[in-house]
Amino acid sequence: MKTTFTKTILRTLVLAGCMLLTVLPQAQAQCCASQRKVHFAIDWQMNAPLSTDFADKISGWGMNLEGAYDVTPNFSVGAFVSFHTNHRYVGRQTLHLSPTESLTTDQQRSAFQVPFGIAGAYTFCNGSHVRPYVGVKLGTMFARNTTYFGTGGLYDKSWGFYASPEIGLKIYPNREKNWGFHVAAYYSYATNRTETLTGDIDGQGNVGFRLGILF
Amino acid sequence: MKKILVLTCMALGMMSCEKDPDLGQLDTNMVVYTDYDSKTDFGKFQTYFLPDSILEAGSHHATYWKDENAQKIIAAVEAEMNSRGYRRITDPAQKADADLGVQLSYIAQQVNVTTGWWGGWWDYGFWGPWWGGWYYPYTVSYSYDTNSLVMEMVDLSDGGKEGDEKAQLPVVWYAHSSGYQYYSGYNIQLMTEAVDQAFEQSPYIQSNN
Repeated sequence: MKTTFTKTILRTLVLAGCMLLTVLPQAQAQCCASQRKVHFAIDWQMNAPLSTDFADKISGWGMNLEGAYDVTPNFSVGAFVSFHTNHRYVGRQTLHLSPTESLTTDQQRSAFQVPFGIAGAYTFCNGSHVRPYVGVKLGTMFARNTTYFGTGGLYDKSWGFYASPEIGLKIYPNREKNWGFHVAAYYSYATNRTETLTGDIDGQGNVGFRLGILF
Repeated sequence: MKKILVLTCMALGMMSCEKDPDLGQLDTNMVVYTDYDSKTDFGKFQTYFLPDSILEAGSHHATYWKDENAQKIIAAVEAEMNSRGYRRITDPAQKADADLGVQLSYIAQQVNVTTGWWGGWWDYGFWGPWWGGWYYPYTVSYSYDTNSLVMEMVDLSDGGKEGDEKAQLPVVWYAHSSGYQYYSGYNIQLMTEAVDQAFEQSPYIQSNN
């Protein structure tokens, strides 16, 4: 089930990339003068952790916030911060914590991530209504994985290096204005390492998409 | 500059935007934990002594729980031990002849929680998803009751010699069940089920009898 979902997401990303490449020549042809140099984005995001076997269930409990400065008409750099929570309920089962210890319980798992750092993007057309771009985010990530069971729970938190390639579209209904809409798809990987009730998580990968506004 | 300030504030706000999971999804069964001494051969034991009361841990001194509800829990332990081939010694005078001693303890606790200014994120309930949630601008206190049942099995076969009153008794098996407290009947049902579960996840408790 999880493998099928991952494949679907990856297929969607590849398709989106292909569509982006097909619109590039047209988009380049429509380029016109840029507007102001500082831009902001606020996004709602859907995110699915990959292969951590902890809380790998897609959710929409997250946001992304970004500020960018146009170094050249096509290239921008800036800063970002985002947050996301994913949950997963695991039914009652007996866990073997050590060769002599056993624990029977159900679990409610929660994975919370806050990556932040610098962002760079290359926009292929800065004058048309629809402006495709490719970007990358680099920085650090705070992660906290909590397992709730019985009347309590346990958690572990960690910091790690974060990298995230991204493709997307900036959509400006009015080319003369600075406000618009934002659509993006991303993959991310962070080197966070946390211990959970059922095992260690060494590295956290995610895929997802963002919808938001630009101003 | 103003926008950067707003963005910074929003970024800091994000740090506290963790969505709490639905803890109501967790079942009401007790969490059952067991551990044992891997050097102990449970097969060599034949008899056990199980008192007819449960030790109740209190804030000042321990009391003994003996009513019919306590007897239901004790009966569940006895049934499990007998099914594993052990024979119960009921006469306290013959306690010294038992190979194993099984002690049951019950601990009830009230947990008090006091919230501060910010109560965290909650589901939006009646107010629609366009609001971020709600919070208490004043302090709110609440409490909930939990209870635990502890089963300890001690090896009596090497100790308890005459004139050796202070012999150290090794605990060879430990089981701890805990959960929220419900009304009496349901609570007893949950505890007897927890006893069954503790033995189910401890297949090494088996006499060679």
